[in-house]
Amino acid sequence: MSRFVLKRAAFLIPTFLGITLVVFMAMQMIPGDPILALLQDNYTEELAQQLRVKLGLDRPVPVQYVMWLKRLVTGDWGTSILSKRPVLEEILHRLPVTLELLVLALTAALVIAVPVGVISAIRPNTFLDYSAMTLTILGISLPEFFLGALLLLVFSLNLQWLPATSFVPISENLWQNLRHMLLPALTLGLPRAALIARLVRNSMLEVTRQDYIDAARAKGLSEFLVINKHALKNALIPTVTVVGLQIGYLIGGAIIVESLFALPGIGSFGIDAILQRDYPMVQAFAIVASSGFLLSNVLVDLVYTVLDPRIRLE
Amino acid sequence: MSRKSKTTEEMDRQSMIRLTWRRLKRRKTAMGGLVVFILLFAVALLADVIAPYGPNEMIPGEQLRAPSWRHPMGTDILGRDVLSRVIYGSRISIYVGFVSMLMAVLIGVPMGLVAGYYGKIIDQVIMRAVDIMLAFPIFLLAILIMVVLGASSTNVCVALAIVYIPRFARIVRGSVLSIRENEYMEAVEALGIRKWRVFFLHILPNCLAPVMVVASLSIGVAILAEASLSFLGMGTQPPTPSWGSDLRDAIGLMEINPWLAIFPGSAILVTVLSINLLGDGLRDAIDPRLK
Amino acid sequence: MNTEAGALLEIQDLEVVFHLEEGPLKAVDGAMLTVKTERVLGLVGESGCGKSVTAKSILRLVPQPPGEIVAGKAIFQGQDLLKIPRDRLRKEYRGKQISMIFQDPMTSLNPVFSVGDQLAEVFTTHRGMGKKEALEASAEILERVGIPSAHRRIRDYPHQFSGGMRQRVMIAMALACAPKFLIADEPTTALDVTIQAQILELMKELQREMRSAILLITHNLGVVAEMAHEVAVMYAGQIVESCPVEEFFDNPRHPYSIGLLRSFPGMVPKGERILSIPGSIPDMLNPPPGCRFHPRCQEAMPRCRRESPPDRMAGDNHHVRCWLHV
Repeated sequence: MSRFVLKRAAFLIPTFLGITLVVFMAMQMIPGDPILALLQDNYTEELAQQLRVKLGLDRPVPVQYVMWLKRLVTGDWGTSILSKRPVLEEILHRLPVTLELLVLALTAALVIAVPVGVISAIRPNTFLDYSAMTLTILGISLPEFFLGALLLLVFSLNLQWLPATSFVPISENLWQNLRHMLLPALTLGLPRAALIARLVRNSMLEVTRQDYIDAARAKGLSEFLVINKHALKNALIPTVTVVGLQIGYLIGGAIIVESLFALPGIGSFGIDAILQRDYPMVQAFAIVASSGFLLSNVLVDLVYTVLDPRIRLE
Repeated sequence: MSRKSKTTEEMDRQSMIRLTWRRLKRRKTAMGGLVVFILLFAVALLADVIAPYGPNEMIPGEQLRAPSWRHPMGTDILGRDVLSRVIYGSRISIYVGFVSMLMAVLIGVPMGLVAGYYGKIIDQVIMRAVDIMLAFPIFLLAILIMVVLGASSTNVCVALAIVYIPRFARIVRGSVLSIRENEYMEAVEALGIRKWRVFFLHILPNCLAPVMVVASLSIGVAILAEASLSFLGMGTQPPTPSWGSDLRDAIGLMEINPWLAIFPGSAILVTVLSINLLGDGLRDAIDPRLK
Repeated sequence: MNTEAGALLEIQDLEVVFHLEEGPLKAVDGAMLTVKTERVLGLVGESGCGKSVTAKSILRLVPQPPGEIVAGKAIFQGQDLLKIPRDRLRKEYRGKQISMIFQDPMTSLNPVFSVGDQLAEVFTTHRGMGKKEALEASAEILERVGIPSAHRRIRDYPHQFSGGMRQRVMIAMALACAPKFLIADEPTTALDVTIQAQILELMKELQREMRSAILLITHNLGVVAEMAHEVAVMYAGQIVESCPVEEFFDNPRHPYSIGLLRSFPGMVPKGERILSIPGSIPDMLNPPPGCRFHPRCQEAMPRCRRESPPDRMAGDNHHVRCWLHV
């Protein structure tokens, strides 16, 4: 792979360490004694002291961080206070649901956004363009939970086309699973689609002003080729950058959407853990979600190099 | 701007503000956003006068009513007037939107100025910290800070300010660096003008345009985030009226009374929409190329 | 000589307007041009005078909106290109019978497609070739325009070529279908001086070989002297003078043409001073009344401020728009 990707990947490790440091510090700053939370009713001074030594909580904070980091990397993520099961197991169990939701939402967003943006850009300032752009600004102003509530209201409660808050795993029945995932994916995807469509429109407008578009037309290429080959590929380059940033919003949105639709993913689980003060779960949730964002950015860089030979051949 | 001399620069700035306002006035959608937002502001200020009932006033025997003349937005499960709650709810949204933005600007802008102006190690330290903060998904970071701080409206402000500080710092640093590249800065420095003068008369004003755009849009993001956090039960706590937490309570009752969800939700939509329209117009008016 | 017989392209009363926020801007205002078969017409004028817009109008490449061709004809071999259906213009003329080379080779090649891909498109579009055959043909024509190891280089991307090499690629692309007419919009302006000569030489060679006519847009009178058979001078959207090239250099009539010649270093005899034309081109949103050039003309008369001069013959094949020559 190209130097560009390697260079970007080299940032992964320090950034990951930074993330773990922030999460670790956040956990340190939570008011209350973690030992108390762990022992709960069994609390005695003697037991507490034993546990402190066992967990290394009697050591200086930097040492604690290194020990904590070591456990994190080796997969020892502790035990959930609520379920009493290993945290890593719980996370892995719920990860597929969240990943499916994210992939479906992003796909829906792109499938809707790119054509809308392109059509708006090739017919700028027409009725079509104005309507599309009005819809998109509505879309970016809609909170996910309100959009989700509206979709639930219309498609589940009134029309009864789609199931409401229940879930069928993908391994059990793909069709039923997709029926359950449709509304959550749309809820998460539509606001992103709105934003991406505006961006595609703007970069298409920018690109179609370039000389090489005139040159492509002067060659006698069909308008279809000029727009969908020559202009679009260039317009997608800045779009990809923003889509990468949007994945951060997508992850945040997934937390809300999973809670709203009661999907058994990491997001809803994380929120439950927070509300019930299950801190081992909370820190795992924070690290998995932010690492996922980090990794998705590497993927975005890869897409970037596919689109832009100037970066690929750097 | 770069080819203009230092003496005309002050005049340019004056005319730039006027020009921006003129351009903004021409954009009907932006002006619409501004008008709606001012109205919302007025509603928040005058909530005590406008609201027909108190936000937590439970009217006996009038639970879960559909909209009517008596209760234009109906009543909730406790018999509280939804219109009054929506009116009072605007206070939290606007409070969080403005206070978090102001905190972020007041801390983020100086950070960016210092990083960009002094460079070297200070810049390195600040920007690495900024990079790490930016590596978190925005909403996740807010949640994480809320876990540490505990749920309350004021803590939501703090959390969102922390989320936005690195964003302001980065923009300002970028502007400072590009301004320092300009020829007129060399002239200013060559003239031996004192550092703080350079700072306040030349660098700071030139960062204002991008800061204003991001600040206006960040109010919208903050209002959305407050609503989302409250929706998840981590923001404003009941019984304080907040659009997000009211919507959360309404979800389970949607089959019986969907209006309970529709009104607070629409209030969020209208507020954020007005800010986005204004912010978009502002961005186009300040610099059509700034995306 | 009969002027009409050899006409390949005639532009008549062309008017192009850009509808801007500040108001309508008439970029081209009644332009008349004739390009003869197998001849090179040099179109000169300061930047912003409407040369490029005129050229783009022939292939209807003026962006619409904000641009609009409001009047005029562009008759190419008896066909008004401004009237025929867009699809026919595209299939029969653009890139096939009429090609275009742009000013900046850095921006006129698409950065995200390989040079071979962009060249091959001409062959697949107009010659109905398959992808492989088209790439083969692309390599051949690249070789013809002087790109070494062309078979290997067709896989490269524009950023891997130098400016001169990119302009060679553009020339190859334009000449791929051996067009009868080539529009070259400042083809050497963006290049180094040494490269300029090579590119001009290449164009001259290919023009003779393919027997194409060229509309050569430039503000460099040296290029005109080198390449052109006829000259047309454009000012503020109008053609103010047109004549054979020798006539232009020996006997220019319009004060603007005279000014251009006096201000061009290579054209001024030794010992004489180079004189630039005072002032600058008018604001096209509010063009001056009467003759467009009068605010800068040292010989302006009261009439010039009121009335626009008509197009008159000032000799064999010599058109001029000036009250001095009525």
